[in-house]
Parts: sequence; C-alpha cells; structure tokens
Amino acid sequence: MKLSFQSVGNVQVVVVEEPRIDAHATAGLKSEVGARLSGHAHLILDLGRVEFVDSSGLAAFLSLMKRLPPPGQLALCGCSAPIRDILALTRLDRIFNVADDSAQALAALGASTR
Amino acid sequence: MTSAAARGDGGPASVVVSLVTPESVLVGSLRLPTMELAGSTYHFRLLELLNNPRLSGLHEGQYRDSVVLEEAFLLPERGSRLPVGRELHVRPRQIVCAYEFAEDGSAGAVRFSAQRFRRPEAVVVTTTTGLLIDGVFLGGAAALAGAAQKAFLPIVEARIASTATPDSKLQVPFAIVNDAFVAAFSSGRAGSP
Repeated sequence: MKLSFQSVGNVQVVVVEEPRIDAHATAGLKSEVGARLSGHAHLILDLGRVEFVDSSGLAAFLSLMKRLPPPGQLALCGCSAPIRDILALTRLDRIFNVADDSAQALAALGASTR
Repeated sequence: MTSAAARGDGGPASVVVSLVTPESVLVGSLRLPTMELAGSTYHFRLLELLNNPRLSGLHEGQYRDSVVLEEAFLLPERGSRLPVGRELHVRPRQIVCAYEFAEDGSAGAVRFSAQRFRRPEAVVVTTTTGLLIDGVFLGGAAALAGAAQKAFLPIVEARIASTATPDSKLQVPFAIVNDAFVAAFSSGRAGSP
C-alpha cells in the first residue's frame, strides 16, 4: 500500500496515497503504519486521496487506534463527503477525531509538535 | 467449552462488532462461544449468537439472553461517546442491525451462511429506524414476506446507508437485520427499477 509518513512531534502523520481502503488493503495499512507507531502518542491518517472505505477499512482504523498507548487518539482528516457520511452512519466519528486537514487534526489532538 | 474459546481453534475467538439499536450504536469486542464437536472446535457465529443468545451461557459468568461486548463504546445519536463498564450486556431483541468489522472481509461468516440458506436473492430493506440496506438475502424475498422463523436475518454483500444520505453506503460483507425492525422490503438492488 502506498503511504507517506511524517513525524510531527509526538504525532505520526500518514498520508494514504491509494483510492481504496478495503479488505485487500488493510493488511498493508496495519502492518506499515503499526511499524511506525513506536515513539508516537497519536496518529493522523490523511484520507484526502481516498475515495472508498468499507467495513474492513474501518476495522483497520479501530485496530490502529487500539495499538496507540493510552490516551493516544486517532484522527482522520481530508475525508470526502461520502466517507464522512459513513463515519456518521457508523458513529465512528464519535470515536475518531475527524478534521478537515492535518493542521486542524494536530490542533484537535492538542499534540506536542516539538 | 470456555477453554476451547481460549484456544481459539479453527476461527476467531472474538470479533469487533457494531450493534445498532434504535437510540445508540454499540461498538466493541464480542467473544464467540465455542463447542467441541467430534474432536474439533466449532465457533458459533454472530448470527447464531443473536438468534440464540442462550449460547452465551456457554461462557461462565454471562447473563442469559444477553450478549456481552467488551472494550465497548456507546455512541448516542447526538453528543460524545459515553463511557461504559468493562462489559456491556446487550439484549439482542433491541438490536436493529448488526455487522462485524472483519478485516478479512468476513469470508468465514459468508461461507457459514451460504451453507445453511438457499435461494439467494437481491433485496432492499428499510428499517423502522431509517436504515436502508441492500444486498443478497439468503432465503429469498419470499422468505422475507413470510413469518420469520428466526428473529435475525442474514444479508450478504450488504450496503448500509441512512435514508437521509442514501448515496453514501457502507459496504459490509455480512449484515444481520432484526426482522422486527423491517419496515418494508422489495426484490432487487437499491436504485434499480
């Protein structure tokens, strides 16, 4: 899975460079992001280029959130309207922070950027 | 039997599920009961558990006629998620719709149902709570029209949406719908004439 990573203080920011997060993509997402969580308190997934997420993708988000040391949080940013609708439908927008962009997500997490 | 669950032979010992009730969505891990059959461990699936919650009694310390979510979130229609205890006991009869957040696409669950149900047919179901679900009902629309023998009905290759935003669909390999909350149904796929 094509991903790009940036550490911002204690936050791992991951840009998903694929249009789909489905059952075929989740293993790569979990393993590659999971391997880069060490030393980070929070995770931001930038979904600006993602057009489709199914239930297995949501499962991967939940799994990654659980791998963060408490009280670590997962933020999703750049979500298209359909993805926001799905997060609202499943009410996972009450579990994840949903932000317009990574700057807003960093602010929402109250993350240390030093 | 509890020890078999701990071993987790032949299938998942627990699954992350979403249980949709009229007021709240409950998300958490659900331990699947197991039974030893002819030397192998049989894992009951979510559909079987909802249709027969007494199977939960296979685990020690579980109240009858409820399923137990662990590490659960209670997500109300408005406002923030609510904290719940370590275990959340849920009455299945209050569940409108349920599905697994399975990272493997719930292939096992689909196989399970395909073996037990015949006459697959595309259907569209609306619930009294404003969900629009289309998919393949294993049993056919005629079975939906008849008196349900089981409270919970399996729909595979399901797409779930809110009637408020019908174009944004969550694809779920295997959804389970409570017949008591089915308001209307038809053959075919959503959006098809």
